[in-house]
Amino acid sequence: MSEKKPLRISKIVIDRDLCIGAASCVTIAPGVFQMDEENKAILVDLRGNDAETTLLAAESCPTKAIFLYDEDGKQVYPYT
Amino acid sequence: MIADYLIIGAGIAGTTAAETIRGRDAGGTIVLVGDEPHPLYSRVLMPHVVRGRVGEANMFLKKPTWYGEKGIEYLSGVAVARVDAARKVCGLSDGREISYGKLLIATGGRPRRLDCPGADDAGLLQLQTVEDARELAAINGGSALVIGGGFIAMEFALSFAHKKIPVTVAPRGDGFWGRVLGERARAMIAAKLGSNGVMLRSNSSLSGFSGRRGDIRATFRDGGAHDCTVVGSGIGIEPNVGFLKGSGVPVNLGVVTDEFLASSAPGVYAAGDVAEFFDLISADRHILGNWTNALLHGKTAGANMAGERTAYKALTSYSINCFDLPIAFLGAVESGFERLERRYDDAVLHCYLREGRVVGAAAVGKFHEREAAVGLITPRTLLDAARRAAFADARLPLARIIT
Ligand SMILES: Cc1cc2nc3c(=O)[nH]c(=O)nc-3n(C[C@H](O)[C@H](O)[C@H](O)COP(=O)(O)OP(=O)(O)OC[C@H]3O[C@@H](n4cnc5c(N)ncnc54)[C@H](O)[C@@H]3O)c2cc1C
Ligand code: SF4
Repeated sequence: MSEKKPLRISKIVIDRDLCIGAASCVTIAPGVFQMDEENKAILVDLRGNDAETTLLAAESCPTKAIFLYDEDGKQVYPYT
Repeated sequence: MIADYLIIGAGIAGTTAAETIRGRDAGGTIVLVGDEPHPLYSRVLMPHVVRGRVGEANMFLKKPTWYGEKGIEYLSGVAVARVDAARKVCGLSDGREISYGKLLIATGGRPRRLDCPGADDAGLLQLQTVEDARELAAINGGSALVIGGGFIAMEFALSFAHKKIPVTVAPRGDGFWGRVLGERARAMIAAKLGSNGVMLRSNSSLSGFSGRRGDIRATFRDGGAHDCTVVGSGIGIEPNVGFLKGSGVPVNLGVVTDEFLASSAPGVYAAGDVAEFFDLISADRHILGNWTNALLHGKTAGANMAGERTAYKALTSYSINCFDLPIAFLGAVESGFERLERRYDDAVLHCYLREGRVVGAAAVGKFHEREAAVGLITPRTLLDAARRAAFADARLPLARIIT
């Protein structure tokens, strides 16, 4: 099996048009995401949870509204 | 055919479980049986596809090649017809038999069907599958009637309104979510619908339909009638458990499990909308029908099938925007629970109590005190008279009750 590099997330983008307030991300990674008054997710702390948890939160979004990038600016999620 | 892990139902719960098992057991054989002939897609996105906000391709969450890459044998378009939990075998709709080591039931639910004269001929729309979404997307012009007063009825109403099709919603109760929301919250929703041209025909008890799509008359027990060209039916879903009759797997409303999502039948687990699980947060056994719950169930059940022993504990929610009015339900919200109300200028927050303890919340208008509500529900906070009074007084931050 290939060596797995530790996951590093240096940028998170939430597409507000896609976000429907399902709050999956907030349920899984409340340190990173919170809901705002319009019931849309906002980023509160890039490092508020560990990277694996943040990835799970992004994967859980039913509208694929969360984009994760590593330190080289490469998109980590959604998988391309 | 033999499978170390057999998963029935290839929705978000079943697919997540398969992926989780593969992450923990590189060599075990995983067979995923799903009766829908598609790779995994997001039901949550369907209404947004119907309303043209996202393209249909975005609805699909896995590529067809993904299953093979993960070493998951995906039998798609095939149903499991019966289960024999004593022999640990399943019979498929195509006649094959599969013996299993561990079995996951993740069959979700199906829309409850309107059982009244003329319903079959009227060609009622449902909104549960890709095919349903395509059918709804293709409808143009005419006028619509929606039966129901919950999430799917709301999705229908919003979709017709988006298409500029005149629409009337006929819930059985008084307004939307008549059995769980208070009067003020329901009035806010009704006003929002009204100002966007959606008519509400509350307390409607349907007696039947005549005609076919294009020219339908619905009649009601109060003597009234409503003419329209198309009817959307959104009266709730029922768990897909019919194929488990005589299987030895315990079924009540859904498949009955403990907090590990294990049933009492050896090696048999359940996850998602079909699981009637013991919820550690509400300390109660129930079914929850939301995306996050189904996904996290899949994670927990998959891990436990692969040899772990993790209890499921998550506080999940379901929300929708009625035009620009947010509506959200968090945790356990059931009609039998005691309900408290907190009024803001432009919003309502309810909390729901079982045996005096907070187990759920609902917000209409805004949910800015969501974190505080989570803080009340997670430890099942007991509300004495002083705390009840504090809940009702929106001038003080809700977070203050917790300390
Ligand atoms: C229009 C719509 C909008 C929604 N919006 C939201 C939302 O905004 N937020 C939210 O949280 N939730 C929402 N939901 C609910 C959410 O989609 C469900 O809770 C979730 O999809 C449940 O996943 P599941 O895997 O348990 O079941 P399902 O997605 O129902 O998957 C079960 C699968 O098993 C198959 N199956 C059944 N019986 C058999 C059998 N015998 N053999 C083989 N296969 C079988 C079914 O055909 C189905 O494909 C929405 C649902 C709908 C329909
Ligand atoms: S999970 Fe997705 S849709 Fe839901 S709140 Fe988070 S970003 Fe928005």
